Amino acid sequence: MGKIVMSGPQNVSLDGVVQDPDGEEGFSLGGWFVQFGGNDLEEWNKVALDEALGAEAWLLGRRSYEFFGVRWRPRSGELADKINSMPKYVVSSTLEDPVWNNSTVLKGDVVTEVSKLKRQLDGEIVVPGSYQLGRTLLEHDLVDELRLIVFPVLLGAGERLFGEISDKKPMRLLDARTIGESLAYLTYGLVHEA
Amino acid sequence: MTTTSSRPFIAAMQVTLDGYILGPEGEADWVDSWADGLELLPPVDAFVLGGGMFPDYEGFWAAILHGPAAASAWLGRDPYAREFTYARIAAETEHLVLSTTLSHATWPTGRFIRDINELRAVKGQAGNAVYAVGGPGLVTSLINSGLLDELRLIVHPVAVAGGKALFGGVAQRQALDLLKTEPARSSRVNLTYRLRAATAATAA
Repeated sequence: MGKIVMSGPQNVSLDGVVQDPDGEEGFSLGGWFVQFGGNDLEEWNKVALDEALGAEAWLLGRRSYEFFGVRWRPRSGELADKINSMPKYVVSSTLEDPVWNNSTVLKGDVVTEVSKLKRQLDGEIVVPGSYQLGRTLLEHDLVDELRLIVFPVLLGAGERLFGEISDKKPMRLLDARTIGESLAYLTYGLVHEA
Repeated sequence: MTTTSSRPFIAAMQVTLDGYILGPEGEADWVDSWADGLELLPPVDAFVLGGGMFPDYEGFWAAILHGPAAASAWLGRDPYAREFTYARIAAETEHLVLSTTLSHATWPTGRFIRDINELRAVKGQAGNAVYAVGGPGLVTSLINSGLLDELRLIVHPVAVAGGKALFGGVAQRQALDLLKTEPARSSRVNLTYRLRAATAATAA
């Protein structure tokens, strides 16, 4: 039984915004990852490396899949080798013949497909970025763990990670610490009521 | 945090992981005690509150002070020791209530102010820190006016996706510095932030 972990880690502003951290989607407040990560991104990279090395597979939405694919496919090194070689599952109804090594397209109903994947795999199935997919997984109680890095900024607008859940999602705090000087790294286990 | 040249304004707020003060039904059943915010603060010599929350606030703390039976009925339990402590401190500390409509306070130390700019004068006086109690409207006004120096959040381990958002009224991007990440009881995290806008204004 696999464990679905929203991580990579999942970057979020203090007011919960997850939209356009890299400023490549045209959101007027985009680009906050570098602007407010600053020197702390060196420590952020270490967390990202640890998370990737501990992952069994990645599960992504199409946009994040393409974003990371462009970034990682040409690279090598410990992190790139791990990401390029591990199994990647991308949820998309349109994507055909993915070019990134070891990729599988999940075409059917997301909830059914991800539930099946969870049963088939062991270990951590990490969902990096992919906040739209993440929202769906949260809504359907398919997420087991959430690892957030809170960036030190109030954006005041933008798409929010928990923007579309219809019920309360109770959690347990598993870890809380500071990364670098100004990033808060919070790990939560989702409490699924049986 | 004690200073003689200007008094830091510090908000201490209890929020869900997704930033709500109250849930979709107006509930805040994740809050253990409204006294918990004050425990995060250094000594303060004034409280600042918005007019929207003040009538319920003064009713609640007056009940803790003078009618514990009524307070117990309200809370569904006996008041905690820290709630009596809060009420005693609050009864001796000036309460500045920002409201254009309220004019009568039953709280002994209540005083009304009509314009948020009056708080600039309060900030410029010598003294201890000022505790911004809430509600979210007041806190975001303080943030938008560059008056809030620190934000101390008790983050509760639940997402509710609706209700009254703490940061719903933030008008423009605000840069922060994280001062402390501290796991606390009952799966809470206490996060302490300094707002750079207020820091810059004080330095200038």
